Amino acid sequence: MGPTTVRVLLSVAVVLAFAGMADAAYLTVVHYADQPIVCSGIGDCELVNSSRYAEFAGVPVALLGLGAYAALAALGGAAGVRGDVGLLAVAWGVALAGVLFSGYLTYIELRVLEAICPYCVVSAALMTAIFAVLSAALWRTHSRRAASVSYSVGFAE
Amino acid sequence: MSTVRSARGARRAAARQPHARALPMKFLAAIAGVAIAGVIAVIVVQARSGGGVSVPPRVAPTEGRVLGIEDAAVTIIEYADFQCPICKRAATTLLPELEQQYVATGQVKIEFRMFPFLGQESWDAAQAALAAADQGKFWEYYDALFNAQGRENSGAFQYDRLVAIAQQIGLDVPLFEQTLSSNVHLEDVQRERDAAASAGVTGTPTFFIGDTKVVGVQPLSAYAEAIAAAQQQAGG
Repeated sequence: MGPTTVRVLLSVAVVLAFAGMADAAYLTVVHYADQPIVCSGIGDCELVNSSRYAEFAGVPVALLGLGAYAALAALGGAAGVRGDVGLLAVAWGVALAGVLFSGYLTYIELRVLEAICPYCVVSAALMTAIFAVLSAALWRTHSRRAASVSYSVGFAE
Repeated sequence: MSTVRSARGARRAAARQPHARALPMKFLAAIAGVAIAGVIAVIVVQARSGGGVSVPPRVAPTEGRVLGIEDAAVTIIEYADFQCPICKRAATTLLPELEQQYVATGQVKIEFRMFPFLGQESWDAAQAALAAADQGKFWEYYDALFNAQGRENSGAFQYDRLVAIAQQIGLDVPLFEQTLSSNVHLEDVQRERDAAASAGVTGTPTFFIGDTKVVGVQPLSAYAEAIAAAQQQAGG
């Protein structure tokens, strides 16, 4: 249960983050380009992505998601390459925020908009998976580091 | 050393040396705290923004259903549905810009017409707006309707709400209710809708600027160009 396991977990997280980036990029493009400029009967995805909840302070939520996934890919990748548990912890924090916000958005979709967009559900699932994987990685490094007692930030040999 | 035992041993070791574990746990707790606080802040800010954006205060004079002065050289006719979210976007972003640049300066006037097509509450809201126009407060009602817009046919524009809005903007409520409940303006709305349909309106908002039809909420330049063309025609 050494750094290899942690690296594998981080690789999984990075792959998931890239999938999340693709998903969020699609939603961002839809938000900007395909954003209906005229009403002629609105589909669910457009409704979700063009409701007032789709933007935060003028920034599309999809773009926030894209940023979060990019940060996760970068932090996760860097944490794996440099063996930096601090970066891993920060990535975990980003994923935690992502999971909480995804939960909020899913609630809004279900309860307020009563509309669900598949790409948003995929994003929420990916974010949850990333959080789970990073939690597992963090747990491994935590156990290992405590085992070595000598306190050092890092899980690389 | 087997991995399971090493993990257990680790926990025991950490228990003996609290410092070795306490610090990273604090670090994680701090990160989790920041993450949770950040998300809560974002949600609160978003929830507080209420109905999203609202219609800004008017800067141009109004007359009936016309925004602007009577002898403005160019007339823009807008067909819209009060339930249409993009009409709300037009009301909160596009029209205020046009109002400031062209209407307040007396170059353009904007006339609002009804194209209800998103269900019963669209028709009711359109009739209610005309009932408000009867009392000389069309634009006040228009502002309040768009500010109160909800999901299509979700009850945001049901009868009670329409009356509440009338009260809110200071209309003669009994008169308003009488006008609304007797469907006085149903035919007017129908006529406008039919006229729009035969003019080729299929969605909202649709603008007629002189000879140009501009569909939807587009960059301001699309309207500026059509206005310039109409101005040229009016001048020449």
